[in-house]
Amino acid sequence: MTPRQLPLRNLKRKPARTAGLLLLVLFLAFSLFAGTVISMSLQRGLGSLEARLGADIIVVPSSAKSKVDLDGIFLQGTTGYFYMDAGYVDKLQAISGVEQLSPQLFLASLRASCCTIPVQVIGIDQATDFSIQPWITKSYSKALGDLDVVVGCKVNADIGESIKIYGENCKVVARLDATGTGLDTAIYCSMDSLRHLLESARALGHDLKISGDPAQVISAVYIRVGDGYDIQKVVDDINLHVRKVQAVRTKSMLTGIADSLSGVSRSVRLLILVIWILCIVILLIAFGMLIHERKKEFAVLRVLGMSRAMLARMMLSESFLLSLMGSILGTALAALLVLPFSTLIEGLLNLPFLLPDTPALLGIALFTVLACLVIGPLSSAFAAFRLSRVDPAAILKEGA
Amino acid sequence: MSNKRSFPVFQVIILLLSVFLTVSVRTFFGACVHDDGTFSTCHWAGEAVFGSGIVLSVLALLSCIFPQSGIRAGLALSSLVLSLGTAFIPGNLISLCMMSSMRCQSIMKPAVMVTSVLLAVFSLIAFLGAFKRLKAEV
Repeated sequence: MTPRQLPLRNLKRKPARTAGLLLLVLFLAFSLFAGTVISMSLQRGLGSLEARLGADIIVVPSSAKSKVDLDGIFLQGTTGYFYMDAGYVDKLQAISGVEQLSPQLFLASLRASCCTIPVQVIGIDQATDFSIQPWITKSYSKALGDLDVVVGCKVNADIGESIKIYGENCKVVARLDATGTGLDTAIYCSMDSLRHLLESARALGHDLKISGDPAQVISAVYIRVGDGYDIQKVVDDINLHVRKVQAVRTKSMLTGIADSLSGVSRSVRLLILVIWILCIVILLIAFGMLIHERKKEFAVLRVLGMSRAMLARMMLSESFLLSLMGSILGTALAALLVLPFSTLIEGLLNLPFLLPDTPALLGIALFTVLACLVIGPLSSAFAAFRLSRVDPAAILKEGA
Repeated sequence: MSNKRSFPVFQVIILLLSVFLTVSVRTFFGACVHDDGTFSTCHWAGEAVFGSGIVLSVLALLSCIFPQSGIRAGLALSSLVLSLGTAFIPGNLISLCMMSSMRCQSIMKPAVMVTSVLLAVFSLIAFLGAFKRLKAEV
């Protein structure tokens, strides 16, 4: 046996002690990887939501606010529908500061194929849309035909498949990239297709509470404000001059989410810090206690001819091996639990949640392993230093 | 052939995981529940996993009972293949509901996948251990 083999043999010889220390490092790696991934996913979710909304103002019928949770519809994908006359588009266009606007039409499916939960179907005006179309273009460059639909990434329908909505077979032509928000669960189609579905819903006897001509209704108008205009002033102008509608600033919708998100992120970071401090303290204590336990062993090794440097190196090698195994196991376990359950975590937090992409995840994993490889041996460094200073004669005499 | 009895740590872990998979897929990790008494395909995916879980549990139990390395190696290999197959049942071999936010997609599928992967890893370790002992005996 060579001195190089000693660290591994020492770890194997005391399985309980090794398992205890391994568990501590595993816990460190688990908390760092899981916490960082969750924290980053929340930040990415909010960024993605801001980018996807694309509009500065959303205008809905004034009755909508009392009927449904608007934040839920626009940000979390809860279903709802409300209607107003399409003539409001011209009225809103006349408001000073409105640079671009596009109407959307909503419909909640009662049952989409095998699902028992309703799905939000959104009709977009392809000629004017600026909030959804840029995202659709990434995966489908043609115009949407009659009953062609684009599904959010969380609607599990493949391209080419048909989804039955109100008895109509709608062909899936594209899937959108993930946003980490409720928008991922919606289905998008052209305004004409949605009017077709409205008719089908009415033909099946569903009361959609549309007053007036169904061909002349819209649900919401997305507005982009021109440069140099105060968005809040445009919101106030719309609310003052256009009757029976409610203008909502998208930033105010996002503020609530951003506040909750920063709260959760702060808690996660604090938790990681507390876990790390606790584990490092426990590791320091554990390695300190080992000094007493292994005094004789080290004295014998010194008598057998090992130098102080070799003893210290052996101790550091042991902790390096432990850190390597613990960090790999902890990171793998965290990845196994956090990544597949991301949808559940998103549902529990009720916040936008978009996992980092693969290179970023690999980067976090590497960082976690490296951090543990630094912390583990550092925790044992003091103990290694003290152990290398033991006087073999005194120790062996003590035990005699 | 060795009849030496040592505590079968990995076999017991595999047994516990198999029982957990079997019970959980019918309870807390179960598929979507419909109020009207109808079933989605996800229900049948859950039933298939339940069936696999029973077989995995029986294999693990037999592995705990029989100490012979050859038998244990064979049973561990069977568990390994079956657990990998089980991981592919929800969403791949049997389709699930349409929305990722639904219970079968957000809870049952990842839970089955994680448990099956763990089962496969422990089965592989158990197989390698049994195979090593078998080679030493021969």
